[in-house]
Order: sequence, then structure tokens, then C-alpha cells
Amino acid sequence: MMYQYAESLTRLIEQFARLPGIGPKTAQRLAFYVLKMEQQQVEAFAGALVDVKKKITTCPVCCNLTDVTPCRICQDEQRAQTQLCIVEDAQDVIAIEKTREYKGLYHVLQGRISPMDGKGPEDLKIKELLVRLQQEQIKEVVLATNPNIEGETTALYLSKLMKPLGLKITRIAHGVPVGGDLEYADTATLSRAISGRREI
Amino acid sequence: MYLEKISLINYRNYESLSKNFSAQINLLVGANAQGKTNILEAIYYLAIGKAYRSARENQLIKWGNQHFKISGEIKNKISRSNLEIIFQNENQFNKGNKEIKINGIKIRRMADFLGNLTAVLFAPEDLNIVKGSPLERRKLLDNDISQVNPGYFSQLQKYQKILNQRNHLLKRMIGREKALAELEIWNMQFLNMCEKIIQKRLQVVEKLTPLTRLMQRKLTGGQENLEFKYLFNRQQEIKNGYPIRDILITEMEKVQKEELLRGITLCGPHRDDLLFILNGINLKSYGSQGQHRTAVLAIKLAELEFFKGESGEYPLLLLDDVLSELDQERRACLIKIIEDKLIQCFITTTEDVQFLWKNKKNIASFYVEKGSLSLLNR
Ligand SMILES: Nc1ncnc2c1ncn2[C@@H]1O[C@H](COP(=O)(O)OP(=O)(O)O)[C@@H](O)[C@H]1O
Ligand SMILES: [Mg+2]
Ligand SMILES: [Zn+2]
Repeated sequence: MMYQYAESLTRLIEQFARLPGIGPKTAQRLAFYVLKMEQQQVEAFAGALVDVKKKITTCPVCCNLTDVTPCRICQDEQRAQTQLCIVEDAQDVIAIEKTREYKGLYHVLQGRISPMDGKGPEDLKIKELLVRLQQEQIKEVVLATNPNIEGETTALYLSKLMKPLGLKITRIAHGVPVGGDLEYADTATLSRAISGRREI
Repeated sequence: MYLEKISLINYRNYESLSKNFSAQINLLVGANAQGKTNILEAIYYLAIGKAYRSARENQLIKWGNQHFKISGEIKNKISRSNLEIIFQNENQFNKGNKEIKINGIKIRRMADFLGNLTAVLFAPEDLNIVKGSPLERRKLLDNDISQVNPGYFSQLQKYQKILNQRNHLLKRMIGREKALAELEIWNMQFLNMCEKIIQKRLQVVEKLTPLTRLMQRKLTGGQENLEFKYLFNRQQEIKNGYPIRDILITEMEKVQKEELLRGITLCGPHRDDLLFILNGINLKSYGSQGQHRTAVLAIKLAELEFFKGESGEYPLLLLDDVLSELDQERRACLIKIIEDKLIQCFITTTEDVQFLWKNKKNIASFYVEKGSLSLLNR
């Protein structure tokens, strides 16, 4: 019979290989790296994996990731309760927070409209958004979806949907390179994009 | 403008090539499948930002390698510049990656790269331009406009993405009325892009029309009158200045029902056509083969003048195996124009054609064999 890795090692390689962007070769490299790590470090790593899954949930209000309910931003009364910034993903919240330009609340759609990827409006956290707009005292909505075709479509869709509500609706300025992702835009550029947002 | 030097690494069958060219006539002579067309393709790549014969960039990499590089030294009236494209194949560790540079500085958008080298390509496939599929004629317009209009290339790319998304949505919508609100948004995006693209094409057709008519007269001793008709959605003639947005909206409403049934987009610039009209008659259905060829030569010559008008300089002319396809008279006319206007020209043939030129001073002849070029004279 052909020689194979011990079962536990094979299992680890398989687990790594399931992660996005990791092929079988990289998975092997990572598994061998784990073998060389200190016992303590391995336990910390495994603990972090289990911990994150156990503790991180979706905020029932803004749909951002959180370890407390509701999330820290939703709880923070210092933030402008009348401003709501709509983003595609949790990473975008972090990117915008880094700019220190925005002091209101967020709503995380958890995706964007993209028929190619089988995602329509019904797959985004839009129902939750509409509930908030009814129940909270929001006066301005900032559409901060990505400046690419799908992000643009999502923003247009939402602005049309929210139009009858009589809110001030703005779109972040196109300082962010067209076709780019907010997550990767540098902080200065993103700052300018937020401060220069325009009504649509 | 001319290409002073080209360097290729792992491009098609060239492992490593570095060659200086004549500012005027460059003959690439060799047997079949030696790499003559590959050279023209690489030069044209610098002009249009892609390979005209191949949709997938990884097919351009020399077999067994992971990247290719094209680099060209361009000289024009006032300056000299270096254009470079490096394509890295995607593999386990990396996503595929295309890097473009001008004078060693990385450029983010292809739109900012294009226009530094302009070229007109005349290949055997073009002989079918009049009677071939509409795609060939759209490609002719799109490749020309991309070179002189920064931004058109990006608009085409954006249009392609929106079209693709819209088609996916239409397929998903079969039986789902609910998505109509989403479709409306995609329609807005789609409409904006359609309008921009069609507008640009109509402007260019308007400019090409008198130039082509003039060339056709030159080639036929003033006997034939050649014109274009831009056909929107394969049936409706439209011209620069028409209310394109309204026309689009009307057509989109008309086809929507069928689109929802079939799940594909049924109007837009990807379905438009360009008709060649000779003495008032549609050349596609009635012209002889000879007339088709003359018309194609006329439009190629018109393209040269078009670029000159847009950028102030003549483009490069790339002739792939077509010299032998033209009759003596047309060939003489073409050669006279190249000589008179000092156009840098790259000509591939299987036999030496130096004898066609009276003045051989500015001709560089290269022998092409298995991915290498050797200078025959100079
Ligand atoms: N990716 C590639 N890697 C290596 N060789 C290639 C590649 N693509 C095409 N070729 C080779 O290039 C040659 C064709 O070159 P081409 O320039 O079209 O020939 P011609 O001299 O007839 O114009 C063929 O021998 C083909 O095998
Ligand atoms: Mg060839
Ligand atoms: Zn929250």
C-alpha cells in the first residue's frame, strides 16, 4: 500500500484546504507549520477558532458582527442617532471607523446585489433596515456601498426604495477608485469620500 | 509615431526577443507557423490593450511558463516613451495579474495606457469584414475608438459586466415577477452605458464616412461611392445627433416581454451593426468579392487618416499576409500611400516582397523562424 500521512495530519490538511484561497499545497505547508509550533501556541490558535465561533454573532439591530447584544456601536449613545451609514460588509464598518470622519450608526447589508452570484435584494439585510427606518429616529442615510457596478446598483436600489420615506439620502463621493473596494481604499481617500458625500 | 524597438519575453513562441525596427518598412518573411503574426499581435496588444486573436491571456504565455512580457519603445514627434505589459498567470498561490507601465511607472487603468501607441491592423480575417458577422464590424469600431478615446475601453468593460449581470437576472426572473424592481435598477445602469457607447460609435462613424468615401474614390478612379449605416439593434438606422436615449428606452420596452421569456438581453450595442453601402446598395448582400476587398482596403486607409486627425500623427500599419491578397493596382495604391505619408509599416509575407518598393533605403527585412528574427539586410 502507498504510504500516506497519519490520519490526524491528513485531517488537518483537509481542513486547511477547505479555506478560501488555499490550495492543497498551501494546506500542506500550513499543517507542517502547525506541527512545528509550540504546544501553547497551537492551543491558543485552536482556542481562538472555537471562541470566535461561539462568541461572535450578528447584531440583531445593525447586522454587524458582535460579541455583545446589541453591538457596541448600537449601544453607544454618544453616536449621532439620526445618521445611518449603509455598508456591504463588516469589514467596511472597520474601514470607515478608521477615518474617524463618521459618528453615526451603521447598517450592514451582508452582501450586495449581484445576479451572477445568485444574490438579490431579498438575500440582503434590507427588511431589517426598513424596520429600523420606521422605529428609530433616523434622518440621514449615507449609502457607502462599494463604488463598483454591484455596489452602485445596490445603492440605487436602496435609494429608490427609501425615497418615499422623506429621508436625506447621500452617497459617498467617488474619491474611492471606481471599481474598487472600500476595504482596500486608503484611509485618507475614504475620509474625503465620506466628508464629500452628496445627496442623491 | 513609430515603434523603435520591441522586447518580448515568453510571448507565444518567443522566449526572449529584442529587436530594433526601421521607422518605415519592416518586412517579416518566413514560412508558416514561425511567429510572424505573433509579432503583429504583440504590437497591436500595446495599442488596444488585449490580444485580438485570443480572449484568454494565459494562452499568450509561451507554453510551460508562468508569465509573459511585452515592452515597446515608442517615438513620436515630441517624445519617446516605453510601454510595458506583464501578465502573470494565476496559480495556487496567486490570482492572475496584469501589470501595465508607462516609462516604468505602474498605471492602474488601461484607459490611461491606451493612446500612447496607435495602430491599424489589416489581417486576412478583415477581408470578410463586409460579409462576416456583425461582431467583426463592431470590433473594428471598438478597437479604433479605444485607441483614441480614453475611457471607452473602460466603458466597454463596464458594459460587458452590466450585460452579464442583467442576463443572469433575466434568467433568474423567469417566473419571478418580484424581481421587477431590481431589473429596473439594472436597466438604469444598462441604459447609461448603452447610451455612452452608441454615442461614441456614431461620432466615429460620422468621421470615418467622408474619409472612407474619399479612399474608395481613389481606389476606384472616382467611380464608386461608399457610405456607412449604423444599425441599432440590427434594424433601425441611427445617426450622430439622434435622441439615442429615447430610442433605447422605446426599444427596451418593446423587447422586455421577450427578454423575460428567453432570459437574455435583446437590445444594446452588443447587437448593433455597421452596414457598408456602395452606390446606394447594401454591399453585404450584393457586392462582388473584389468590391468587398476594395471596400475593406478603403476603410483601412480611412482608419489611418482618422487616427491622424484625432492624434496628429499617423498610426502604425500592420499588414498580416494581405499584400498578396490584393490585386496589383490596389497594392500599388497602398504602397504609394505608405511611402508618401511615411507610415511605419509591419508586413508579414511568406516571400520576399522588397521588389515592390522602388526606394529600398528604408526597408528592414527580417527572416522569421521558430520564434526568432534575423535581420536580412540594411
Ligand atoms: N502560447 C504559445 N506558446 C508557444 N508557442 C505558441 C503559443 N501560441 C502559439 N504558438 C506557436 O506559434 C506559432 C504560430 O505563430 P504565428 O505567428 O501565428 O505564425 P505565422 O508565422 O504563420 O504568422 C505556431 O508554431 C504555434 O505553435
Ligand atoms: Mg500568420
Ligand atoms: Zn448593532
